[in-house]
Amino acid sequence: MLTFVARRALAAVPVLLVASFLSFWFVRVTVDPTAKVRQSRDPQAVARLRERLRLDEPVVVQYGVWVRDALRGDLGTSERTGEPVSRMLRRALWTTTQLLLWGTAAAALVAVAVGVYSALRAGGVADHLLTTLAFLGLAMPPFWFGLLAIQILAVDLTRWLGLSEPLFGFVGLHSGDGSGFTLDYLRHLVLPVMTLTVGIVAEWSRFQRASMVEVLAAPYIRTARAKGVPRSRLVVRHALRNALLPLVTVMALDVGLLFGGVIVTEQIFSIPGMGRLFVESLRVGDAPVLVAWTVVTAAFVIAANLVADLAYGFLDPRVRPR
Amino acid sequence: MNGPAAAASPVLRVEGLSVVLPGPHGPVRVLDGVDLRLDAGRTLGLVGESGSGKTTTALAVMGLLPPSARRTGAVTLGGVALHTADERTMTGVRGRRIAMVFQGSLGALNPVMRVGDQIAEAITVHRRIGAAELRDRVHELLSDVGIPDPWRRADQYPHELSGGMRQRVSIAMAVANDPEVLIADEATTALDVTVQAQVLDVLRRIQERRATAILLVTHDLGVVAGLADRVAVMYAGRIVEEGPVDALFARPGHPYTAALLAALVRLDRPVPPGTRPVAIPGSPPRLDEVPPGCAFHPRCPLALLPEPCGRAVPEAQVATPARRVACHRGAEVLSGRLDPLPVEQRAPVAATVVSTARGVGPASGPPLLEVEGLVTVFPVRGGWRRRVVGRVEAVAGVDLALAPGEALGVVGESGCGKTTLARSVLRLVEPTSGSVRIHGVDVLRAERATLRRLRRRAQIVFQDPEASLDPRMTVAAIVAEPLRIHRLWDADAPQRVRDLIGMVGLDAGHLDRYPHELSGGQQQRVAIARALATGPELLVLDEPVTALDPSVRAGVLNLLADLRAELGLGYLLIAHDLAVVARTCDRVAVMYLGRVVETGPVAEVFSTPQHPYTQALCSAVPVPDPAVERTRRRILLEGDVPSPLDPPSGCRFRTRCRRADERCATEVPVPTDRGGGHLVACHHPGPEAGWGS
Repeated sequence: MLTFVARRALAAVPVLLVASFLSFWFVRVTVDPTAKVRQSRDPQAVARLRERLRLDEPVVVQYGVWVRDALRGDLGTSERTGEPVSRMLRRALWTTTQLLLWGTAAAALVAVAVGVYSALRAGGVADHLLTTLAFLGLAMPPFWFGLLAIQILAVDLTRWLGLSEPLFGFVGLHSGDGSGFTLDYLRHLVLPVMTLTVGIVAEWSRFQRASMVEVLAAPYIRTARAKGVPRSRLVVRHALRNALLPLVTVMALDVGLLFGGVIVTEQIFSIPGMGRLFVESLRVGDAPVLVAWTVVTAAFVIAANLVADLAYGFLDPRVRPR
Repeated sequence: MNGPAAAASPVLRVEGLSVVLPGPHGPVRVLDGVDLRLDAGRTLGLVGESGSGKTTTALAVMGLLPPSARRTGAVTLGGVALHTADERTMTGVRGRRIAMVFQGSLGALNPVMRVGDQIAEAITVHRRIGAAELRDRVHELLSDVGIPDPWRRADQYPHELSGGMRQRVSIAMAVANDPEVLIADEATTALDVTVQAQVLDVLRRIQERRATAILLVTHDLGVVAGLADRVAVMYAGRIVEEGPVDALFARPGHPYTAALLAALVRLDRPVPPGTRPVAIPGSPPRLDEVPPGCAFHPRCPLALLPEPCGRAVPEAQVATPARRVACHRGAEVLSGRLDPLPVEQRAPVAATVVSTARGVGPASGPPLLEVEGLVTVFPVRGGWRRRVVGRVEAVAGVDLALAPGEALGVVGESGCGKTTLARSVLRLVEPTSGSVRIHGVDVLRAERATLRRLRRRAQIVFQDPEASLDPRMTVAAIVAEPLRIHRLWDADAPQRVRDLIGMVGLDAGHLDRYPHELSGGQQQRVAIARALATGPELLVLDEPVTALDPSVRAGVLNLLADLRAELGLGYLLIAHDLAVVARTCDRVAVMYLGRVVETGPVAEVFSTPQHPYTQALCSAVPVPDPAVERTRRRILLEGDVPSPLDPPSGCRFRTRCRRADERCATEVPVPTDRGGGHLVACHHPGPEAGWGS
């Protein structure tokens, strides 16, 4: 078990190296870091910057320097804010992690519930209705969904109910300078989490439904029925656990997709997380931030897949790593 | 089998049971007025081919039909009407008073639940029980069904158990609450014969100990002969005949039963030379197009057409107090006034259609196929870098020779390497070492062009015709393809395709059809025609009739026999069914864990087997004759086939052999001639006392 995790962590190293090199390379190719000092009155400014960033040397050498510094814990300073990149990332990652954790948890709960319910009533009215809703969710662009949600659930609903302040927050994760796990925090989470997960809830519920329908037709379900296992126990003990197996894999793969969703969601709801950091850094070509952002994101996705594999082994004795 | 005095009261009664399922072209009546009666402590065999409705009957009794099914008729279990019971009541009855064992596949047990927990669940859903008592009960059940080391096994998952072991667990689960009725639905079908013999033995013992009534659902008449007191035969959703097992086997009253019995090959009674088993024409009807009148009439030699057989559905007639036959001519058949067996009227195959036709029967001369020291090893990869962590010697040094026109059967249980052997011979898998020569040409060292020419002369027919025929090609295109590949396509080729189709007993009307429009037997005939297209001298037949219904098998086997006689083909026939080899082949090779343990003329090997494994294998095959089956001595093998990853040293069979001593553990036995080309690879060969005829 421990060796399995260690091996997987080791296997992640080349992935991280390739990801960081590619992003480093792309940023160097597309963004000229000397652009902002071009207007400087100091005639040596450009040359000094070129020397400091070793821009005259091959990209591989520049990358090597970056790796060396990164291993020492120095990810450089932001060209936009002058702040250390590691500190900016830590702050943004914590915010985004909250969104992702709540999002994944809520999406998984809703999707599994909807999927199981549809599968048990496959072909019925409820099943058709939920299927339609799922396709609507898949088809709706998240940014539009977010704006609609703000308009209807925050603005209109608040007015209809005659409340003095919005029922759900839609700027940041807390009102004012608030912090911590409070009711205010939860009210701020609802809309961003919905916007972030509308697509994957739809996808996962379809997946869970298909998987559940298949499992319910499996011979071992018939065996259990022949034993006299009542329906509720049949669904929970025998069908659900087996039906979750394929979903776990899909969920892990979709964490990468969620990072894309975070960019849109954080923009709409002004949440200072990884998504916003990315957009703001991209706008001004803040190379140190962008490269570090890619590496952190890649590491996050790899970790999510590792967790999924461990969960899979926990759920399915057949693939348990020995 | 046991029958004390109290056995006359019916514990399960099925009356007028009909089931209608929705189909793509309207409702389909899959069961039509089924009547059954199962007495306490007795065994009723329910026999039929695929699609005859036997499993539907079992599921209908259990109330496990899909929700879309409409069921009518009455099912009574010990005075309780199950057909009117609601789901809640049925949940309480299932597993407690009536239990079911399904066909043993990996899927029959929940893969993510320990087997001990699955057995325990069968108890806890029906009654409250303390944890310690429950654990003891689970272990008691596991040892009851003959699972050694139950404490360890209970904590394992289904994939960690062998097929035979899983089936024992299923039985343990089913009998956990001492049900009055146990339904075994093809419970031993997926198992090897030696394991089947073990599992049948478990059923027998359980019945003796607990006086459980068993409804034995199977297509295998041999299994029924050994276990059942009464037999009901199903055809196209109806019971066509029912009666005591001895009387029914001795004198079948329905032409279908008679034909099924006649089509069987019995290992204990070799086919007399010059005769052939009678094949039933056609194939079982699909349930959405059951013929009017008697469903069997298109295949029946006694059918009176159009009246009454083609018009009126025959009612079950009570012929004698104990027997019912649903046949318009059943009374005449039972009284002996009519012989129900069809007269074989098949035109001989025209020998002229294939230019490469040769002499008939085994000929002397240089061998057609020589296999020497053949080894095929599959690497087992594992771990993080997919390194080779083990080797499976699927074929571990096999020597074989096949004369032109000779048929050699290779038998053995699953995992013994027979299919790998077949594929290695044609280099469909790459052997590791050894040599294979076809007409003296080395197959393993052949260049591309040589190999191509060789494949023209050696063709293969696979087990599952539905999977081995391209579903998007017409029959004509399938049969023509080898001709095109081998650049034999010329002006005569279309005629040759028509001739080939005729040779395998199909007609030109089939040429434009697609495989899915044909029955299984017809599909396999197309596969044979395709194999014959290039005029080969050697056919490798890998389980050619295993996927076919019993009533269709005889026809395909007869065809293979005819083709060999007409075309002088050499056959290398792979089969797990000894009877198929007994009927079709001149010689047989018995394989165990990658090695040939015994080889020789079919009649000799099967009547006086010298190797302990062959003896056990022959003894495990159920004989479709109740009188013989009840009295004959059986050799039950212990345990399962060892893992091919780590085969036993010396003689690979020694771990399950009763004659094994120290020498067997150290020295690999060399095949020795026991006379007349009968080779045995054993340190202690010799006939088993009390076995053989």
